[in-house]
Amino acid sequence: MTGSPNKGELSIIEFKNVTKRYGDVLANDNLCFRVVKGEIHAIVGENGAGKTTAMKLLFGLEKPTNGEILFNGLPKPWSGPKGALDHRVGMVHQHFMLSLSHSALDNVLLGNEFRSHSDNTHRHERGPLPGLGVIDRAAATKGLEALCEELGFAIPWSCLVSDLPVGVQQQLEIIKLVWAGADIMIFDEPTAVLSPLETEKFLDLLRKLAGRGKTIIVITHKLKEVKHVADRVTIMRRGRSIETRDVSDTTVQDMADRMVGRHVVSEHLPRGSFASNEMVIQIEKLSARSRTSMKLLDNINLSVNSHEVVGLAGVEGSGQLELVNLLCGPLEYRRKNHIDSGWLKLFQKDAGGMSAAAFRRSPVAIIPSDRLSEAVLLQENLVENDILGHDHEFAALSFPANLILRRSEARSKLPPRLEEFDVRPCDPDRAIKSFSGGNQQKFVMARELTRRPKLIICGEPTRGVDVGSIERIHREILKFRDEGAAILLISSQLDELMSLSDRIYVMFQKSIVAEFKRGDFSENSIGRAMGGGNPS
Amino acid sequence: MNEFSAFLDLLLSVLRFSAPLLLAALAGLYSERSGVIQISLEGFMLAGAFSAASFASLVGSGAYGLVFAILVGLLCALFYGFLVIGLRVDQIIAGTVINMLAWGGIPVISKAVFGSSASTPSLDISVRLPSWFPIVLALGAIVFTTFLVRRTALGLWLTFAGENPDALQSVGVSVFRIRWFAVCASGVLAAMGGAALSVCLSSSYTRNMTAGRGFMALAALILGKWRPIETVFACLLFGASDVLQMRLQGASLPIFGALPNQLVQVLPYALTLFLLTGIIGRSSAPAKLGQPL
Amino acid sequence: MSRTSLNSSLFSVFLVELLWICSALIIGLGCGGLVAWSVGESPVHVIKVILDGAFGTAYDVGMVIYFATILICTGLAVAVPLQIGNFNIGAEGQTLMGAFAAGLVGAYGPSGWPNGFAVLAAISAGILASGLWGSISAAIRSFKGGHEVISSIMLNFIAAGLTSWLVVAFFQADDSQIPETKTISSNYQLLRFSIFDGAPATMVGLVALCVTIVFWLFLDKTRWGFQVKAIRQSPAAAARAGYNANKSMFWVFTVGSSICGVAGAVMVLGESWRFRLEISDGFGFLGIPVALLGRGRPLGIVLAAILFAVLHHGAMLLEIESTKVGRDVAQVIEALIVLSVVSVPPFVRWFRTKFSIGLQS
Repeated sequence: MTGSPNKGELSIIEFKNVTKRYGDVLANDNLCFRVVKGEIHAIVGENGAGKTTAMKLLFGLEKPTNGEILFNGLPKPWSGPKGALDHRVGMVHQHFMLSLSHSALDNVLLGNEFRSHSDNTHRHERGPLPGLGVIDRAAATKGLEALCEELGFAIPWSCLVSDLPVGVQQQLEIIKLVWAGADIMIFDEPTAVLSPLETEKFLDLLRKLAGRGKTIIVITHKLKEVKHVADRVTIMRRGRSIETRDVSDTTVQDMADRMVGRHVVSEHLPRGSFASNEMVIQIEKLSARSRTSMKLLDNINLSVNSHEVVGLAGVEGSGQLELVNLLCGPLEYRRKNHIDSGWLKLFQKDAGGMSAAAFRRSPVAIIPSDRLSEAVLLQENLVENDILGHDHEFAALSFPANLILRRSEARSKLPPRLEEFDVRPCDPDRAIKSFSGGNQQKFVMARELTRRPKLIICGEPTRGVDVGSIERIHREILKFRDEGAAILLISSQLDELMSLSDRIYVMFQKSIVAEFKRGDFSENSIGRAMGGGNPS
Repeated sequence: MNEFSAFLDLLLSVLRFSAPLLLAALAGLYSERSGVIQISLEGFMLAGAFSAASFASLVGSGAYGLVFAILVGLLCALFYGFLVIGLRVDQIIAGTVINMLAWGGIPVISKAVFGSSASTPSLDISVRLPSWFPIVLALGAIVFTTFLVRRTALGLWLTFAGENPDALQSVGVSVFRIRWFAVCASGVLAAMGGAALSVCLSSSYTRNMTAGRGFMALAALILGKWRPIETVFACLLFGASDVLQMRLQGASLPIFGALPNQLVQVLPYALTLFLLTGIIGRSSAPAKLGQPL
Repeated sequence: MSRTSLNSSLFSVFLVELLWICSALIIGLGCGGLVAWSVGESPVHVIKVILDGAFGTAYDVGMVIYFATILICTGLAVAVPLQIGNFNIGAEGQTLMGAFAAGLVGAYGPSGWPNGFAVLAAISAGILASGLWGSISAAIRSFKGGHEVISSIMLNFIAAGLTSWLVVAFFQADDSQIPETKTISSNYQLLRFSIFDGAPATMVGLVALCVTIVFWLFLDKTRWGFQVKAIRQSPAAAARAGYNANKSMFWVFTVGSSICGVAGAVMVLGESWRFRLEISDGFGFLGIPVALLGRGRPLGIVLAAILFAVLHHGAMLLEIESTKVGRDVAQVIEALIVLSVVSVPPFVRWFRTKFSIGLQS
């Protein structure tokens, strides 16, 4: 085993044969790794590899079924996040733990109301009636300003968090940990919301923090960042720790192979070539604002043709969601926000003011990126979920007979759909929530695609889906392309976009900043464009 | 001079009328800022009013009556807390149940103890508490609450419990405890408000004597955007409209003519309704109001 | 799973609902008995008096039918918006407005209209008024995002003030000392069934049953019902599916609250023959426990309404038959029934988790 710490180095956190079982599911299986004081330690693994569970166990939110977690060589002495923080172990969660309607200052002070200096020697213990102690906000601001200067942050302390950009919110979370005196800082997918430029700055900050003697654990699946910043890496797969090694001894490809458990080749999926393409989505100079006159979209030019997969790349929040919602989103969204200038056409017809009924009768399929909250009714069985969004198909055409929903018809038409997309188990009466992520996604695709749409708008088709199903889903998407559908694909996985798309648009700050054709794809230039840089 | 004393008199009566409302509204503030909807203020107030008057008449001391009312308010709050925090029953349903229990239960107890479901025995003037007392109570509650919410750690925790309980939990403060504290404070304050009505501002408990003040307090809280000082002003406004309604009975105003007092009475509610429409500004509730953990 | 097999037979549905209501009744009466016992009255006596008061004479049965008619309507007014996730706590004000409108039509409408037509007109006026009043809350909720519970509470008070002012200022009856409108013309009066000794049991009771069935058909068999269900369960998924949640909420809430108009009209046209300020007397509010006990199922609502009508009317006899317990005990029993319905299942769960944690550690 490579990458084990030298004898002299003190391992500060050690997972020793930790197993966590939820019912029949093994979330962590004999997990072993150790983190050394002062290093940047990356933990990588696919979705569902058990990274989050491991952190829950570390913080004491859950108890391990077997094995133990050592802190400085002894069983960890805490049983909750507060106890962990008392031993100077803190975490920045993927979803920030900030209150939007409190000031930046109050958010940092929470839990450490009576400190006025980041140095731990000035630590004030809580008295017997800690709640009634008066917060000295002026003194705290002074101390925080000094800390900000050291770290190179500029935080407007009296601003409400809701008014701060996401990058500053992350700085706030980091400073919160430093302020609380954390020496071991854990980051969960910290760069998911950052542009490449911000990511760069963030990685620099990690090195700076490590230089100050902090131990840093980064949970991520972005292997390049790991290669860039980490000292050692632990690779997890299906709840097990596959290995821990020095980052300098390994390559990104090697890490990827071990993470997935087989040699990862960029998929070479068969794709036909087609000449005569008709325009399905056509958007010209489209700008839109919200009711509060926030910029939603800025001068968008985009087209999607039949027989074509068009990818939409960009950091989260660059305008992809707004574009999709203006195209085909909830009615309320379209009514609340208005198009300033430009136009959009679907199937060569103006669609700016398309009614919901007309839209739903048009041959468009939507596969939302947030499957659980936007695509299904979790409590209901497959029949009801098959009706969702397609209830007009199971009713007569004219009033009043069109009000009656013919459930028996829906039930009889369902099994062939399920079989076509291999949804298992093929039981229409089972509630959707009892299916696995991959089968849920296959069901959603079955519902939308067996209606033979001419346009498919597909967000994050493989998020939370097991490796086996991913390939199947990719093949289906390409099959529909070859059959003549136009496909708009939104994904945060650049390699997914690159392997499926014929063209890729890159969005940055609500506008399209670059367009790439298949053959010109390069991770480097697309990545640069995502951060607003020059793509060439 | 005469006009001045008349004005002073008016002011004093506005304060007297506002005081119980103020206590109830602050009661609501604690609970709702911590994320627990509080539509059972009416029930808490009724329980406070009845228990204060009945205990005062039994032991012959208004002060003991008030103390007893506080205990009863605490008890009601514990029950409500058990339902919504412990069992996570829907907060609106639980509040409705508490109100129904107060509406139906108090007459039953009253009849059993005093032989009349309409009112408790009238208190002697020496037993009653002075009518300025609620003003002092309310003033104390305002100062304490404002200080607590704005300056102390507990205030910070309270508001975080309603805005982002996960963040609070992650720094090791128990959201359960904060919400329990808030609900209990709510019960105590609302019961004080009720007691002020029955042993300070009148001489007995009469059936349904709060006459919707619990709901009016809720309206004041919304009008005050869930902030202490603004809520105080909303309560004063409501109190003033109450006093105005009584003073103006039949009187005619220069422009409007005779002002129908039923309409003056509903003014606070109409104002709150308008606020809800967003036509006259917006009042945004704590983000996690009504969501159990 | 077992749900489908249960649904397959109407009889078993009936049985389940009946069992549910009966267990609620037993719990409620048990609690009521406990209350009676604690104030020194024999529980058996109280229960006997309540049952005697509700079923003792044909007149009493008629009164129970009358109250049940009202409670079915107000219960539906709460239950229907609940299907889309909105809590209509404003049935009281909506009923008042409906009664007021019906009373005005009855008192000032043309007295030449034939009975059936006149009654229909007055009820329609009530439905319209209730619906309009409810639509204020509905509009604030759907289009402005203001909480419907708060606006409903405000509208209850405003309705009371408004009707009080209108009656006193414009429609005061000359022959009365208390604020009320004049008696409605005889062609607007609902015909009472003669077998109930003059109790105001009318055809509207059957109408209320029909409304309940229509409501059930709407929810279970139509596309609208499906959309309502989807919106309640997952607003985001419903929005993606193209369902307009705001519009649906507005209409469901408005239609639901308009059912209060029937209740209000029945009070005026069937019983008092004129509009009084206190006419709704908490019946709108009682719609909440009826809806909760009925769990949104049509049969459940009907049975819950009958149960509450029995309690309400039966308890009145207590005023005469008992020196220690008054009619208010009915409200306590009702509250306790709702309490047990909403808190017993979570209580059992809570108890179980406490217990199993105890086993683990």
